[in-house]
Amino acid sequence: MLALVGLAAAVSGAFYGVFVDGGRVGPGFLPLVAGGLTAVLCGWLALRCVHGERSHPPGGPAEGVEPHLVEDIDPVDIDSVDNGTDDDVDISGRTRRERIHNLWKVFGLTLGAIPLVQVVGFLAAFGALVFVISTWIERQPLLKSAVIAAAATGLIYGVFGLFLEIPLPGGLLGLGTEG
Amino acid sequence: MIDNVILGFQTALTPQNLLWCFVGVLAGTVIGLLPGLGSTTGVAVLLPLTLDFEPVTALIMLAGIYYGAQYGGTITSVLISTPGEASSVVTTLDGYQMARRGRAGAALSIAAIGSFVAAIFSLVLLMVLAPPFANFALKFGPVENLSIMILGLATIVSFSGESRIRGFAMASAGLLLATVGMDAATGTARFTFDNVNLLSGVPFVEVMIGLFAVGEVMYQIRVGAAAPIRTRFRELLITRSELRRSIGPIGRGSVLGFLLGCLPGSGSTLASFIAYGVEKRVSRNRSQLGQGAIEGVASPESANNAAANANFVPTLTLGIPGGGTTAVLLGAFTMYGLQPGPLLFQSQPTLVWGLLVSFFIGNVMLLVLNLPMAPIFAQMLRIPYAYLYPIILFTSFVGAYSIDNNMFSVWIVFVAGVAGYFMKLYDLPMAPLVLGLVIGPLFEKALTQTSALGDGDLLIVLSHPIALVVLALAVLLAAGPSLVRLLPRNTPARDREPAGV
Repeated sequence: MLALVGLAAAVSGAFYGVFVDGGRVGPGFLPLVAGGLTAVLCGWLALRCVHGERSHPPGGPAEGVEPHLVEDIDPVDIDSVDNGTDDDVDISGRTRRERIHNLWKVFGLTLGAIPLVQVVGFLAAFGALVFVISTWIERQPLLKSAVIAAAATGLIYGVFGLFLEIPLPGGLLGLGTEG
Repeated sequence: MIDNVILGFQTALTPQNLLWCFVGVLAGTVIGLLPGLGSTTGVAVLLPLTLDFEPVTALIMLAGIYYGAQYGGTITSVLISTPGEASSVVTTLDGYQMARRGRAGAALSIAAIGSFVAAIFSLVLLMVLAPPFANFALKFGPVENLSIMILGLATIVSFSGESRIRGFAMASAGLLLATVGMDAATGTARFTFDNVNLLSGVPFVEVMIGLFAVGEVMYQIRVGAAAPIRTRFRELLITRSELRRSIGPIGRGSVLGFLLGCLPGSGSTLASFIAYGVEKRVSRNRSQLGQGAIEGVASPESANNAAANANFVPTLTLGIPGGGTTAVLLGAFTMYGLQPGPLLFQSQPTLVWGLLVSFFIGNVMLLVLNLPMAPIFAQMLRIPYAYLYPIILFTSFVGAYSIDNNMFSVWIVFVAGVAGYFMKLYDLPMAPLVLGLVIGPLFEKALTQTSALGDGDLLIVLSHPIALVVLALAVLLAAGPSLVRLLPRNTPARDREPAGV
């Protein structure tokens, strides 16, 4: 996808004017070069993925880590750094498959909470998000989750709404700090 | 120099700055020890809280979060084998093994001591070297600036992820993202899709919050958590033998960390890995490394703290971030109307020296906090992630909203969060993307000016000696690892040695 974005940007860049008077760099130069490079490099990486030539699976070593340095470390040690690459259950007893399901649920809930801000307000929408994730996704006790969601919402209201005077949208219910 | 240090102490020792320095280092320690949060995330998320502060106070607090997180990141590495910071990844190798043998306290203590020694050592060098380097950098024009930015990109690309191609691709994507918005030279709107919010470019802090906070939370949900090991106060005591064994690694880690941290874009992760690799080759106890040797904790922890401070050399003197977190801090500078670069030392001496001196004070606070309180901090690991991450999400989105008070920022965080998750999943390094995004506008400006100086001929860089040297260094960094692989290797001898880093 990134390769396609880069390609589209490179083509668009050509229309902004790659060079201006006197052959100097124009507004389209950097989009063309950066987009072209992104397209070529990401395309090459995608091709490598398709051909299964990736040298280690997703969830590898942290960013900023020199590749040959990591290869030299005992693979058992690296497994202990990232325990998400296997099918073992985590401390909450979930399998990898269950965790991935939960991940998509959290994505969906967050995506739903953002437009909900216009209806019920920022604090209520995201307070509800905390509560729903704790109870439905994480299966935590109802009362405890409600207390934590209320405490988090209260704290955010205190810090952002009262202390920093951020006008948080109140939605149709008017539960914000606007005005 | 002495006058400047006194000025710095006068600034940093005001009750207000002391208080926020303490808040910063405490928050940094907590942020560093919580898996799923790191210094970059912490600084990005808490940046909106400082908008009403004096710039020097805000920067003292944000910098406190940065180096505080270096200490805190160690705690999770040692206790649950989950690094709170990328720069603490290598600490898990020996730190966790020490914890399993009941030496968690000693590992945490030596990490705190090593970090403190390295921080003080690197701060002295930072104070001594940064001003003359800034004076030297005053001679730099657009051509030199362009070459230094290329060096920064080459550095971060050459040390990023599984393959340099990935780093290169992400740096290009970052530069591309930076072109969104109005072109400064001609006023042409690029990739805005008639959205007025995009005319001023892709909002930097929101992207950081999305990539590092939301993306990381999503990734943590996927990987799950390891079982923690509890530590007790009496386990903090280090034996005399352990202390003696740590002196050399702390010294080597400090020197290496400072040297590597001075490179633009290098961050502190690289320093910790190189320092560990050096210990693998020079330590008397190298055969024990990986099995719970204290050298494997002392050296990388010293290196990452020294590098964290050294990262401020390119950030303050050239305006080019030393790593991911300093990139966010650079964004903070511009939000407060400050332009880091060679002139900063002359135009804002109170701010610069107050900030540098606050590092000393903050590191003393961290040592006092970390030595006796490591077990208490470790108790925070008992907060179930099930409660923690929804609150992190809430804080991230409200923090993003508060920057510009509009929902567009919230959507940017969500989109960047999705991108950040997939980048982590497919091992695409974020640091080059961040650097590309941050230096993109400066890079394009320098490129346009260089092009104008050469009447359209970019090869004018070859007629500037400083730029030429810097570019040669960039090429060496980018191509170096490939060239090293081409050299003949003594495989049988290597096989007899313990695995090195």
